[in-house]
Amino acid sequence: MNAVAGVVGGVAKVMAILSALATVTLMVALTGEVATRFVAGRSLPGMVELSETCLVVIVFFGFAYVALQKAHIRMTLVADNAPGRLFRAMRLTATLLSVAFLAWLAYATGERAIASFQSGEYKFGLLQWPIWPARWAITVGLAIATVVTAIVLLREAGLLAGLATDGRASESSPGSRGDGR
Amino acid sequence: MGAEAAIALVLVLMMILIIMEMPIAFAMGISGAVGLIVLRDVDYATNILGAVPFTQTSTFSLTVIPMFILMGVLVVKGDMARQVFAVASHLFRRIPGGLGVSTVMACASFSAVSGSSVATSATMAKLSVGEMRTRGYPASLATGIVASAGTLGVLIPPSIMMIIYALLTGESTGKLLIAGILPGILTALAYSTYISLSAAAGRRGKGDDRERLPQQAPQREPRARPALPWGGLARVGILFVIVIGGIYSGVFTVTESAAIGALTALLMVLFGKRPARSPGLVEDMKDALSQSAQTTTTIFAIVIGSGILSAFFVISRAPQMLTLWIGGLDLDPSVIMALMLLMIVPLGMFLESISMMVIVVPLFYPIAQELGFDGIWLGVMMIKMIELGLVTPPIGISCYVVSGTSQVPVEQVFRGVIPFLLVDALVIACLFAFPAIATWLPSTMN
Repeated sequence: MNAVAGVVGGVAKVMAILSALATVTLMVALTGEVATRFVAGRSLPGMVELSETCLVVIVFFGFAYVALQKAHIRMTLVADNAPGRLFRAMRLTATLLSVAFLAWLAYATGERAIASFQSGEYKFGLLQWPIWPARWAITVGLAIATVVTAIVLLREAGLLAGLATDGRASESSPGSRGDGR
Repeated sequence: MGAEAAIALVLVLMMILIIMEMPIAFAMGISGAVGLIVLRDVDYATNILGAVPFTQTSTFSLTVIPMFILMGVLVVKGDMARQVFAVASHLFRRIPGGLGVSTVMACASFSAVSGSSVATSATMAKLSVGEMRTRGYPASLATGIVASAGTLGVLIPPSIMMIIYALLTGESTGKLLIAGILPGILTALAYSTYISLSAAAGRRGKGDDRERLPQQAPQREPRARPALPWGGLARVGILFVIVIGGIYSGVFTVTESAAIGALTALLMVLFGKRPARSPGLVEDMKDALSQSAQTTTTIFAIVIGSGILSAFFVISRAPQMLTLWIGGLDLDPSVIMALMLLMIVPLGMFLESISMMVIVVPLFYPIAQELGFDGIWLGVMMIKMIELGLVTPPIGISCYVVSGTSQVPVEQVFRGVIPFLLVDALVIACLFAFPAIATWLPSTMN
């Protein structure tokens, strides 16, 4: 089981790298569009569609890694101050429900992805841009995030020794945790 | 089950899940989905869950969010904050409370390129709290200044909160970003005035001894002063002109400005002087890209969760019910608006700022429209109120960030923030009485 957890953790990290690369691609695509418009007086065909796909990849390929890092924004104030057993029960229930919700999202978006692939869904702009890869990226990202969160649940329940050294949540800041922009 | 009972069920369920330490994005999504099942059925809820993740992300205008986040992260890596603070400390060294004023002004300048309150608070706390304490500022005041001034990050453009408000309401992102400039400057000036007046009062022996602000300690003028790092200020200026100048003039769209800003910040980090103790360029780049992607994911997770919750609100007709109820109250629209804005303060004590915005805006915005209030002005006002939530206990994330960075107990930080909350109340009253402070600049845009 620990080997599976290690593989899943590795997959999450690779997807996070792809998410970061999609950020760079998005930046290059958008600045390329500006440059082309200034120099040639016209838009880069497919740039809008590429940017939208990049955003999907940034968000959903990062989902599993964010779950691994427990970096989603959450309010920890009450749970942190709850008695030990209650705290553990609350946290386990919350993680279990998170797994169920992510699995439901993965299933629901998977249905859409299959339908999109089968019908050859395209977006019509300056180029015919296929939509189904972005839909599949969503499903894959959510499915991996579901597995990662399930492994986190097993670890929290004491059924699994560890996922990865960086898979532990920071316990230092009370109040709320996450980016909090 | 009737719509009213379903709304109550969904709101209670959401609060329970949030209290259980579930990610807020999932708490919103689950409670919204449960509401959809209650009012329709499982198939309908599954249909919404299948659609929302795509519709809430595959949208060109939203590409601005990762670009501004990337720019902000790169600016933090680029050592610009330290240089801006050094210049500000020099420029304001002769006025009473000069170091505190410098901190506020450095926060305002840094906010203009970072887009994040947390980044601004964390970065400036490292630079200024120790320096202020060395010069005799009480720990509570030193940290209170940074925590309060750090909140300028959500008001002064580029603000991610403004972009999310635009996404939720359909208001112009460019106009909203520009609308934050004057209120941001007004807030920075108000904080600075308070610090200076307090320092002057301290000189005359007034006020509470423990909390008294010192005058700027007399500085020995070194014979050969090291050259001031004007380059940092220049780089911040260049980024500001590219991003905000580009948007204001209409030369670039908001998305293009963000991307060009991110690219420029990247080039500045690649070719700029490396800060001392930097882990190395490659490490910095990897860290910046990873942080940027991770932050984007956490923000969009909330946007997706709120999208599911909003779908429930739409079919439950919650905004219409709320509008009808408020319309039935025999109150002046200004009073209703003031009460709505005041409701945000206690919410901000328990909800993180983005989550609060995505829950409150879909309910409040239609009412404000019905009452005839300007959507851009409402955005600025809501963000000003949300700023208060960043520094009020128990959540007050800016205070925790400053406390963690400066090793000052968080209780002292919260105490130091109190006078600035009163200053904020005054600024909010000004914005309420004179909406043009927020709406004039956007009205002059190309």
